[in-house]
Amino acid sequence: MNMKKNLIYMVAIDYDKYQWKHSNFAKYAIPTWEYWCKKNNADLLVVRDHDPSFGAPIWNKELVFEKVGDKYDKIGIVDDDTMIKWDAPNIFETYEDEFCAVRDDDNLAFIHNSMNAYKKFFPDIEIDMDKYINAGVVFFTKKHKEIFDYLLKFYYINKEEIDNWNVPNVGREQTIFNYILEKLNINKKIIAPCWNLVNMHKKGMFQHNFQSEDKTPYFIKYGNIWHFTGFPIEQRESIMKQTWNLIRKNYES
Amino acid sequence: MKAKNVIFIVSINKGQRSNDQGYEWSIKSWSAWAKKNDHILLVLDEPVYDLTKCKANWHKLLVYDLLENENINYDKIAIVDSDTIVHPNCPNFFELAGDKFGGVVNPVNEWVLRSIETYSKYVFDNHKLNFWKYINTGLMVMNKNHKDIVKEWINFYFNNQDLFIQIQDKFGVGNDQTPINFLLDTQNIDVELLSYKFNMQELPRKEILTEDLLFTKLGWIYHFNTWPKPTPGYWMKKTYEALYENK
Repeated sequence: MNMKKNLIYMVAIDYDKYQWKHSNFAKYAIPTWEYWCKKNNADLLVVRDHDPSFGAPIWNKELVFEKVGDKYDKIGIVDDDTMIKWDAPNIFETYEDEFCAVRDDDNLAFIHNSMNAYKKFFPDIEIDMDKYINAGVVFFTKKHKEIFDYLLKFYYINKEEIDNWNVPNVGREQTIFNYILEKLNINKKIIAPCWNLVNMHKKGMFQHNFQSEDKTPYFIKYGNIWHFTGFPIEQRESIMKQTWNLIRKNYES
Repeated sequence: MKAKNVIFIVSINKGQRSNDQGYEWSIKSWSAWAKKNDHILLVLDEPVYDLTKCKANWHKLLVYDLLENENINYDKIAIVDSDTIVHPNCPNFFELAGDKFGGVVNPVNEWVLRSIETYSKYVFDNHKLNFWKYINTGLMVMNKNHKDIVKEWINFYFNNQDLFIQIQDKFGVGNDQTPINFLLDTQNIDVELLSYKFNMQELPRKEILTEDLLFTKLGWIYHFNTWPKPTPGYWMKKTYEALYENK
């Protein structure tokens, strides 16, 4: 049996308290990741069942090592609103033992406010905005288990406050994730933004070059992983569906 | 006389659009910062070449000639756009670039990608450029080692002048910035990518161009490009007064 060394882990849970079914996003994301994993000899694990000990599905991400132990050398956690390009290179071959992610620097007001809001849990920690990452696509190794242990511990200690968090527009887990990376002094590798193309609408990347005969949208040409965020969530399913219809033929071989 | 670092600004004021830029606030801020840090500020306010043949943007690359003409003993050079304001406490970014060519990434947008594709096709033999290494030429840090390179770039411009003018007229994809990025990449020039804090562009899209001047808390050099409303001049004046006069 061919034992695979690398894993892509995705949380795609339909949650009663949420208006939007994540399976409606994941149904377009998963085929792309299945194809890419097969091509690059990696396993794909999709978590569809919510652990009731958490107040929100996002925290199921942190269970990655509870579920797979030390079976895999390298792991990527990807959001269920991401799609990977059919010919994206094997990201696992591009790093050694670093924790890899893309900078999140599109909405600096959000990041500033979010860091201020969650600082109450980390009064001694400063995050340089240049190192603030998007936690929707991260790649690491089994040696990074401590991060997820710490995140889970942090969550359980602060569960009541986190579950009832009502500060608007400061996000949920991402900034906490960033604070903990900083607290644990994790060696981060900031990778090229093509590995987690967020806010594509704001960047005009859904458009094509109107002065060229090539009608391929920019995001298809220049992204490896497309992250469908940064626009109203009610548009997400439709945009992912349109994308899938545009590119699905590339995943059929 | 000891060699000093030089701040070079091209500020050729022609027409209403230039007036609305509020260049004077930029120069005042850089003048104060240069004085505080014992640097030299050099401003070019008249065109050397006919602007229809050589836009003000390309005049930035004349810096070495101007320094030689003025007999200025220089160490490092920062070319900064005249729609920037520097914070009075901005750290010495000259040191951060080391001996490399220093610049700050331009946040990707449709124009950047279209500009890259256009210049790639018409000037640079379909050379591919990664958008995440594409710098904004509103801040470029250089030193003596870059003198010949930059002079070569000016020759490259004049040798292809008609083509550059045609591209800008037909496609509107910019003057100096994209060609400089291609030249850096095709000539394998070592580039130090500096923090966004040293050339904070597209402030509205980053959602930090607020009346309480949030951006001034997040970095050091504010670049009022992409025409923030009502005018760049409005923001330049407001920022300058907040940082330099109302202290």
